[in-house]
Amino acid sequence: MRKLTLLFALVGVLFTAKAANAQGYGMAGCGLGALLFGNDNTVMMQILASTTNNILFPQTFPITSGTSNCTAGGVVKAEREQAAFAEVNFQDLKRNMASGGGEFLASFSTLLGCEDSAKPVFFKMTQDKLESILPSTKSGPIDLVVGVKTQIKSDARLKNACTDERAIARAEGKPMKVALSH
Amino acid sequence: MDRRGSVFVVVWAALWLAALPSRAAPGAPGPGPAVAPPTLPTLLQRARSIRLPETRDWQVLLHYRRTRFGGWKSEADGPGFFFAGEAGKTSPAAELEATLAAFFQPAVADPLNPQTMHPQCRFPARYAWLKRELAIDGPGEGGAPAAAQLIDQPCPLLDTWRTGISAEAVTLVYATAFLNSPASMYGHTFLRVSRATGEGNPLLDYVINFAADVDTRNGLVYAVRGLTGSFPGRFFVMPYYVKVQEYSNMESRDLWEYELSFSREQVQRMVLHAWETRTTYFDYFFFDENCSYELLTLLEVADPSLHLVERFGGRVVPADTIRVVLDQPGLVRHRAARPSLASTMTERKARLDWREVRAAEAWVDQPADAAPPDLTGVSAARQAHVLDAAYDYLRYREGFKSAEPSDDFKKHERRLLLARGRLGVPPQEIAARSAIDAPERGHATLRLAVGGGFSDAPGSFETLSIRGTLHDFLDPSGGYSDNAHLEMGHLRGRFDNQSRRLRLDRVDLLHIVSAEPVDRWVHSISWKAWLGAENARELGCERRDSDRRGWRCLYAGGTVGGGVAARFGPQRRLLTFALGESDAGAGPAFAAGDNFRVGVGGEGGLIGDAGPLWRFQIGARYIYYLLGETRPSFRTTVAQSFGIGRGLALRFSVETANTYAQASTELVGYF
Repeated sequence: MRKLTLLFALVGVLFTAKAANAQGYGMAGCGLGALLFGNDNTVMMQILASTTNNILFPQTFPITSGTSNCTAGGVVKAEREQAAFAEVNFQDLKRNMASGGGEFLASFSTLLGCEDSAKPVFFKMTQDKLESILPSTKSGPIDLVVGVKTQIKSDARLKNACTDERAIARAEGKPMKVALSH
Repeated sequence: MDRRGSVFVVVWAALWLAALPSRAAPGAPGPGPAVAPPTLPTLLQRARSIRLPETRDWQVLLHYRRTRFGGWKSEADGPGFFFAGEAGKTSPAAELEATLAAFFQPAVADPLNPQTMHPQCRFPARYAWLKRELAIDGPGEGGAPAAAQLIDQPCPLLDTWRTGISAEAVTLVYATAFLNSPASMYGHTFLRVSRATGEGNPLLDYVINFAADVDTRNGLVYAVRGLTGSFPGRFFVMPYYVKVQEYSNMESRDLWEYELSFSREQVQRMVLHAWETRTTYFDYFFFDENCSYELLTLLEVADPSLHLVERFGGRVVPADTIRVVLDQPGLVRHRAARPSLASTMTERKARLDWREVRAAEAWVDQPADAAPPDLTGVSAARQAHVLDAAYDYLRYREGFKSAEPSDDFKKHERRLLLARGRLGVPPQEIAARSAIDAPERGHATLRLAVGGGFSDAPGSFETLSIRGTLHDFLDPSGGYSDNAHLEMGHLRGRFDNQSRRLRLDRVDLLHIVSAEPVDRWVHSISWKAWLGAENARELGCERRDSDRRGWRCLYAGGTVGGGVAARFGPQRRLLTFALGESDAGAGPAFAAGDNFRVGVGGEGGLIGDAGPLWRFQIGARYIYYLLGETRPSFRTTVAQSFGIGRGLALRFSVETANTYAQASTELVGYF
């Protein structure tokens, strides 16, 4: 039952992501600012920006804080993990894709439910398909998530090696190496 | 086996089997009254009889520390941490009994409401520990009414949180010092807990970070409140990738990771305890009860047999806590480095030849629609190196000032990434550079020095000095930034042999020189700040005929300055800097000018090392005073330091101040 809920949630994220994408990037609200500071993006992003101007770096998101649309007690909600990771690490992900591998892309493939053995193929795929995954300078993190997943589905070598079931099992704290019972 | 023995075995087996159902399902309605869970009076009695409140496990869970008068006091300052109210803060026994009683509270109406969580869900580490110590899962006494029984409560919020973290192993992470933020000058430590799935993706791990819950952006307010402990400190949880972005990319700080050898159970107890701290806060003191101190208390919760906190007095420097953790036999399993964006960029650039550096610059500097730089005849792998370095440079130059990069950046970025993708070459990883040194290799932070010397007047003298923190340009550079001088709490006394008087030589409340070298790609600003007291020897107060001798030569003052620094020479081992400065001071030394002076001027320095043990520094500083005592000050220094074994060094220096000159020697020890 819980797996089903999560699956729906994941599909829901992608759906809203596509809708958000139609209106331009910035709708997902789960970026670095949201992760560090809860939801108050406008004020907090200014503070975040100010850190590079050598001012203090407050972190107003302790375990005590309740639940935002993105995190609960500092832990990213399972159904937001892929989007949150892509938003916060957008640039590192892009450059890992261009160079055909790297730590950020490896972690992202784990969130997408890829088997370890499929990683080299996944890396090469993102390098080869970079231009179709991110078709313009306006392409944002959600386009990246959607684009990579679309490519996985149309790649015979990856579509069974990177699955939502494995991603959900991981979110539920189960070892991904264990085969699923159903 | 004799007959009596086998009868015993049969009876024992029968008894054991009879007890089984209650073991399998504690709290469930058992077949008879003999398996009901224990009642509160029984447990209180049991806890007293085995003196549970006096155990170290309980003390670390409640953050109790011995007071000067032999009592106990908890360092938790928020009242939500104690069930016994005020008494709980000072009485481990009262708190333990009140905690036990609270665990018997009836189920809450809505277990999903974070405001009304059941005590068992708010304090899962205490609950698990008490259950174990009091053997609560075992058979209880008969006949108690259901309301008096201890029943495991559902904790859905806690379960979701725990599952998200799924902690199995823990790593202590050290972020190197960041001089440009007062909160980060001494470095920072936090914990990273690795997922139970063992998939080897540290970026996806979670971080437990202790930080002041700061509500001000005013640096002065921050400093005052930080020193007096009026910020609440709390534990924060967030994904490690957020911290990597913050430190490696935004602040260009290298990270050092020390994997600890805790068992799964120990890690889980620690994580559950971190959850418990959501009910409270700890007054945050910049110098002692700071981020690193509170992390040590978490490590003690994981393994109460560790005694880490008591190794520290009034001052906890993050790098010292790394050394203390490394001192525990077998506690650190593995060490790894994660160089920052700036470190990586510098390393990549160093591997390019002159033509390749120019090509990388062209990718970044020329308009995005210009023809790409010509690299004909260069292998695809070398081109990948160039493009990787160019991307580092582009990103570093764009900076992190806004959440959304500029359109120009995006165009350049796209052009670079597509070109890199088209090469089809695998990642060109570079090894962590050797110049970023492990923090534990640095000298200890407390420094004592004894020395002596002579001057043209008044003659020979002896000196004694103590420095609280941290590092100057002549201290052994391993483990510290080569480009920074940071001292706080430095005091030097001097005994003049001729006048047989003890006098204050200098006080540095704060002395920072941040000399960040510039090169073609890195354009950083260097700066200096000083606050303290000194002798105005340039005014001739050491002369025999002066009326400003002894303590009358003193003044208190401050300096601020800014400028540039550069590295050059073999392996870039020479550092030079030039700073413009403004300087102000007041004291008896300036009696000729209303007891104060204000001026502007400049300073230059050259620092280098020749071999691991020998370091030298040459400096000159000229200040033209505009107000008050207006005689100018011209000072020079030539100093060198020789390491002579572990934690010891010998220094020789010659200093001049206008017409005054002295030569001195110091034996320096680090503790």
